[in-house]
Amino acid sequence: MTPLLALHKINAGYAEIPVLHDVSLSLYPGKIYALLGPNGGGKSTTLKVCSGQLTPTSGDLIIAGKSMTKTDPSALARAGICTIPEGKGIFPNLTVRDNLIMMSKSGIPTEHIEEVAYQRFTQLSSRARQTAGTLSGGEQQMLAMTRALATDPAILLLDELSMGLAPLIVGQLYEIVQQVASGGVAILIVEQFARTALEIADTAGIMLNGRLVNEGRPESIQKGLKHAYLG
Amino acid sequence: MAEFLTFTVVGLATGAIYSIASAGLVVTYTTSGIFNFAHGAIGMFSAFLYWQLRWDEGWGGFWPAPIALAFVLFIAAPIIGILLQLIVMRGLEGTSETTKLVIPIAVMLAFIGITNWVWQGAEQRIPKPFFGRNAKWSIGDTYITWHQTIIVIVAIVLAIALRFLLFNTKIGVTMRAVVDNPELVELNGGRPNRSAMQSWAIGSIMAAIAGVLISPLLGGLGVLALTLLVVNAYAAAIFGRLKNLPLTFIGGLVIGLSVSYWNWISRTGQKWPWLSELRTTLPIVILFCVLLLLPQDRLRGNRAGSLREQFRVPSIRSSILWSFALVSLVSGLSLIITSKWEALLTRGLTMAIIGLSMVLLTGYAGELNLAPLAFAGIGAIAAFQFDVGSAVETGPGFATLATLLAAGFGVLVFPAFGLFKRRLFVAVTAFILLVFILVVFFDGTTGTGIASRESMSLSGLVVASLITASVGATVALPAIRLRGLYLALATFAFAIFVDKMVYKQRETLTFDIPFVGDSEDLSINLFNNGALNIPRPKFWGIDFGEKQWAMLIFVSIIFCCISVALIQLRKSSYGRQLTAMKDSPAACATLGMNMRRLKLSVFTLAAAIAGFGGALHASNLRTIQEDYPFTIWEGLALFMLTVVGGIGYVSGALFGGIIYACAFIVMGDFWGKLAEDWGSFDWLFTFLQDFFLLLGPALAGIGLGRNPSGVASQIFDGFRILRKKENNGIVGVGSLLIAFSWFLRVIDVYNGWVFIMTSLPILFLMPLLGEANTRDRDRRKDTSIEMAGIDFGFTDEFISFVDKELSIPSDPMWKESRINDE
Ligand SMILES: Nc1ncnc2c1ncn2[C@@H]1O[C@H](COP(=O)(O)OP(=O)(O)OP(=O)(O)O)[C@@H](O)[C@H]1O
Ligand SMILES: [Mg+2]
Repeated sequence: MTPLLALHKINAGYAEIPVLHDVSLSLYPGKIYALLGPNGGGKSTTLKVCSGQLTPTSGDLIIAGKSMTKTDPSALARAGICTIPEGKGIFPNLTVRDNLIMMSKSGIPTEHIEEVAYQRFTQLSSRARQTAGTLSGGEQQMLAMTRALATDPAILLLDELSMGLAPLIVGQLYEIVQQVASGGVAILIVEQFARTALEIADTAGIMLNGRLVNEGRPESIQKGLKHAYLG
Repeated sequence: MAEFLTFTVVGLATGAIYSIASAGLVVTYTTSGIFNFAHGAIGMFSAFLYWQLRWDEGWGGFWPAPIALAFVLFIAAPIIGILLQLIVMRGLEGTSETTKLVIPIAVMLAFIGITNWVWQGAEQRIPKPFFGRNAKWSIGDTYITWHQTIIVIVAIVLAIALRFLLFNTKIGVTMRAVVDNPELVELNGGRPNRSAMQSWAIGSIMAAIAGVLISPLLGGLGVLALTLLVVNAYAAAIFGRLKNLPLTFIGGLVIGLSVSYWNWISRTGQKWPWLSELRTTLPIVILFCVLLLLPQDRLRGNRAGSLREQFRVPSIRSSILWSFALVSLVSGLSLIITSKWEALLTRGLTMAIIGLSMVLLTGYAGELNLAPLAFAGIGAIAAFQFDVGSAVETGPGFATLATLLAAGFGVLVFPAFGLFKRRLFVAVTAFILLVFILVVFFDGTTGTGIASRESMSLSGLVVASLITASVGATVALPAIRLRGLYLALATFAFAIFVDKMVYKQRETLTFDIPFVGDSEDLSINLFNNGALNIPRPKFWGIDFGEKQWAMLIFVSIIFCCISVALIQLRKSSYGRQLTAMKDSPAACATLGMNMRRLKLSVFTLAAAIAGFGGALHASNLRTIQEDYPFTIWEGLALFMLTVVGGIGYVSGALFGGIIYACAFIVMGDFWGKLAEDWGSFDWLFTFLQDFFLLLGPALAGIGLGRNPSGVASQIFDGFRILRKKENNGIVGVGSLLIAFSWFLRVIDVYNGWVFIMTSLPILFLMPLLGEANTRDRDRRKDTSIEMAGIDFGFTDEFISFVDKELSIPSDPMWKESRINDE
């Protein structure tokens, strides 16, 4: 099977400082890849390369067999990559509805997005006119996840979905992720806390100091995990 | 009743224009986060353009109204907006509030420059209202012109259309989303740049509409008047807190109506002419009040560290060395340059002293002040009133005033330096005594005798800066909770107020200080007859009035003294508090710092410096007028150039002052002279001359986006390399060569041009050579890590270098064991 998205020997960094060294990984349709590792390892940086926000200094970003290394993020987004960045993937000063309207930039009509959002997350429907920044953390993350659900992406990139959320909500969110994956979407999740992510992942990788040091089945990764975190 | 209606109609019409203009401001602000100071200037430019196409009897002229309108509003204005976004505003991401403010100011000055350039001459340009002056209809006895009707209709239509666009269309929602999080817009598949261009185009169209509509209501087109008129709309925009369009519209109407009613009421009041003068400043007064009354945003923590500006603190040693260098440079120059150049340089240095107040206030403390020259002007007026005393009628009043001011200054500022309770009491008392002695013993206290004095005294300068300090404190007191843009606008309002109400003041004001003298201790004619003649200082037997070179050196010494003091201040605990306040007011509040006192003290201190500099500047010029040199425009230009120079450094102030006072004039002169000499290329050189004179400062400001930390620091950084030991030879030879060239000039072997042509290249070659030299040495020195211990020893320096390379935290244990081994 050809990967939907592949990184090939990526080196990348910010200004002068190199962060990623020779990172290669592949995402397959319907599969979830969990990227784990301690703080500052370069996970978010890897994700930024995938979404086109960071141009690598060398190496290739290959999407559906085509090299897209220098494509800008908005074009990639329109081509079907849905990225929910670290922190909140919402516009805090816009209303919930405006946020939903923004999602339609990907080409899906607003009505459809609204329908999915309000059906899936009923508490959002009563808050359509509320400023998104005043929603609770969980509600904000649900709003962000609506994009993954409603815009019919081919590839989904999620950075620290669970940050600051209660386990119950995290569980709910990951259920949704699994469901999206079953629709044939290739998914990359970046996580600090490995347990939940490993439960749903098909493949997992550990990132340490900008290198992908271990990659494999979740079970085998779980064993090596302690070592990676504690050095 | 009919009269009431007439004034209501007039008020509604102007108010509607303010509404349109301010709505444009709100659109660009909510969609780009930039407060477009150039908004008024764009409107002004469009009005001129429309006049050119529609009414000029030469080129253009007599285009049919719809075509001219369509061209101005739908072709020229959007292009201006898009170009602005593409060339200028796009580079502002991640810069500080100061930079975000200065660049639009630069753009505003550029538009003023361009308009002055294209539409030169004193020719009266009178645009006519739509459908002519006599097209009107009436309600009862009240006539309403078609122009007024159109204005109101246009305003209503625009209000509804804008609201719809921003909140109900995808384009509008995207424009607002871009301010929130441009990266996320991209991740959503939107194009932030395109969206920003759309909003700048819309903002610019709104400005153009306002400009075209308002111009026939004035007597004739005036560059500054039109620009300022749209500034009136700022109040409306603030009324809507820069985001609420309906409130903004109401604000515009309220301002228009208030001005109109004020006209109506004060028309009869011949008793206080300045009251009717207030009508021109009323919107500004409203702006000030609205700023003060509106609930402020909570303290925001700036994103420390993510800003592109970074300022280092120079060491005291190097600041003193540079001071000596500057004073000797200036002294050396004074021997070889003509007195015209001396005058220009002196002007630059006095301006630089005023600039130092901005370094303290904006550079160190992060408080924006757009009224530096208003404070300087107040200082000059105070010095005049005190020293020449044409209007001060009784002495004791002034002596008392001076001591009161000294007491106030001490109480406000000294605690900030860590003086409390007994120490504070002692310090303030000492300070009061000092000022009292200065005033009483050196100047006497009675009569109008001062009027006959022909020189500025030291006490004059001191009292001038004390008075300015008290004004500064008075302005800062209400504005103390304002920050960033809001504070900038409040000070801007203050500057306009000073421009229109103080410099134009012809009344004699009298005050009574209780328990002192008779009932009129102080009667002041603030700005008598539109010009104040302020004498040069004269002490220690030196008459600075006769010797321009003495004035030049004196001023350079003063600049250096204040600079060194400021750098010392920056290093003190007071300075660290200021920096903390600048970086994160929220964090400071949680640390329990008393920010009010800190702010008040720094404002007071900065105003004192500005007042001092202003008095010196005026005394150097000998005379100041109501429109020179302390106007709001000059103030903005100086502020801008100081930021360009690097507002975090005293060298930035030096750069700003010198460039402001000399560079553009010199360049203009240079091209002008070439134009004279080379008649056939006259057009080219005249073009270049106008170019530098009118656009130079603005372009320098716009260039700031590329290097937000300022150019002065860059230049200094370039010379830093010369401090290395290995470059001593280069410095020695270079300095000798320059000294030699200077000597040849002194003994008149050749003229000034040759001196400049020989010494400047040497000066700028020195750092280049130094860099090459150092690089060369480093290459030779460069040995690989493996050779450690063989080619060279395990020095601590080397070990920490390796640690850093491998990102290992330095391990003290290891070092210890190594020491034990030895
Ligand atoms: N915008 C940036 N500019 C400069 N350096 C950055 C930037 N973003 C990240 N870095 C650096 O790159 C390195 C990797 O960061 P990254 O955000 O990829 O880590 P991470 O694995 O996502 O960590 P975390 O789990 O804490 O989110 C870090 O050392 C970080 O300091
Ligand atoms: Mg991360």
